Amino acid sequence: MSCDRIQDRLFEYIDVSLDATAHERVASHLDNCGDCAALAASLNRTGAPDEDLTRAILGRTMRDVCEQSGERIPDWVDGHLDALDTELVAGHVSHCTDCEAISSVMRSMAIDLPSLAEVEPDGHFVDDVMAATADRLPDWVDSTLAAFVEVEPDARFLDEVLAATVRKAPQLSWAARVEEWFAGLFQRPRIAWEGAYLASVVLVLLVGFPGSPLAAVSDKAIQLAKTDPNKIEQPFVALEASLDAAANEAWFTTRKAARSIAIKASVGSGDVYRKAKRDLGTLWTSIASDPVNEQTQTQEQDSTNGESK
Amino acid sequence: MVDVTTLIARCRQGDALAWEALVRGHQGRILGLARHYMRDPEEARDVAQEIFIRVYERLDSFQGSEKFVPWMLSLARNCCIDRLRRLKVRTPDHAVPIEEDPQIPAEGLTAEQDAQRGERSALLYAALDKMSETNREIILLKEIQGLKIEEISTMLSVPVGTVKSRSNRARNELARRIRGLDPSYGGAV
Repeated sequence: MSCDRIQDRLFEYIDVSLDATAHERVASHLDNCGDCAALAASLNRTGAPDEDLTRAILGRTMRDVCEQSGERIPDWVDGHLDALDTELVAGHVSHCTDCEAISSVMRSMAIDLPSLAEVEPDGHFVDDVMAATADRLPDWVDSTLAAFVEVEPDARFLDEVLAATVRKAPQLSWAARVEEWFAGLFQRPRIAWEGAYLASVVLVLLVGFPGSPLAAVSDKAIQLAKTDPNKIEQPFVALEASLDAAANEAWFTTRKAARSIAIKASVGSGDVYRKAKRDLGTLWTSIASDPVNEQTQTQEQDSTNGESK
Repeated sequence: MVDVTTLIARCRQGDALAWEALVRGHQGRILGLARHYMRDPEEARDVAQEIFIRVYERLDSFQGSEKFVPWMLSLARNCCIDRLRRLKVRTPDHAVPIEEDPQIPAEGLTAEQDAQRGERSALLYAALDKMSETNREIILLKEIQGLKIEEISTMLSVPVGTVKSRSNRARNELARRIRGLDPSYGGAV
């Protein structure tokens, strides 16, 4: 086997990934070839990693390695990390003295901190607390006493009570039930909301539905709202003028009719007057020409003269 | 130790002994929490007493399905915040003198171990004292009082993810502050 072929396979030889025959051949070649043996020795040299180089590389690429490690160290100390993170943190800590020290401090903290949880009180503390609470009667005393007298019922108890009360429940008439249902309906807090909802639905059906009788109302209302107020006044002016004309015409017609009625009435009354006057004159004439009346009239005149004498 | 649920049930029936047992069982924890919030031993003692009175008055609102300690600590926290609002002062003058803070002695420790423990506690208090209020509270509730993320989320009314990220941030801050005060801390572990 030539040196070139041996050197091509040196990495596999060092990694012991060659099959046994090939490995043996390379080994025998290295025993006899100084150059290849020196190359294999240089490739096989595994010195300690250069920490400064690592830090320099990390410093120029991902600077916050220790910061990220610090975030995971508490969980690593507690054993809460998964296998991968555990290996990663352990790998970092084994090369970082600062993080290694922090992790050691955390382990000690986990032991020492719980001892700070309790402090020995002085001898009178319990007595003081007992004295402070002795005279107090908390609010829960009543409920406690109530709970104290409560007895857990057996399973059939509730069924029996329900059966007994349902049997004895008064039977309401049909009308009373309907009335009760209506009363309950209106006593509900939601009745106002439901009424408003129902009214909104009705309004939408009346105005907004295409086939509804009031469908055009909203459009007209919008159109009216958009119209210039000055233009809106014109129809009213025309209406007012027509009303005035109609009123005048009615007035003249009425006055004319009244006048003709009055004239007719006055003409009629004149005829009556004249007829009465004529009848009265005739009456007076007949009275004056009557002899009985003339004698009586003379006697009355004489007696009047005698008395005056 | 008697189950808390049983004790509460007896308390509701007016059993003073059950109430006393409940107070004795949780007084250290309440006082510890109050010390952290109030930073003054006398204020902490007063507010701890208030907390127990409030717990007593609201025992009826405690549901058996929830855990008693988180419920009680939530009441305690609100009580402390109310008191702090009333005081409207939280100056360094009221800081807890660490050497005077009497922790509950741990059983089975030698005098030397106990002294070391005291030193470590003093270091932790000093580091905690330098932290921001938000991070300090998270450390207090999660690391010191041992509440779960979900319980803290409910107590502080913030999402679980926020509590978790705050917790990690707070632990990092505390670790760095401790290391700044004493670089040898944690080396023996």
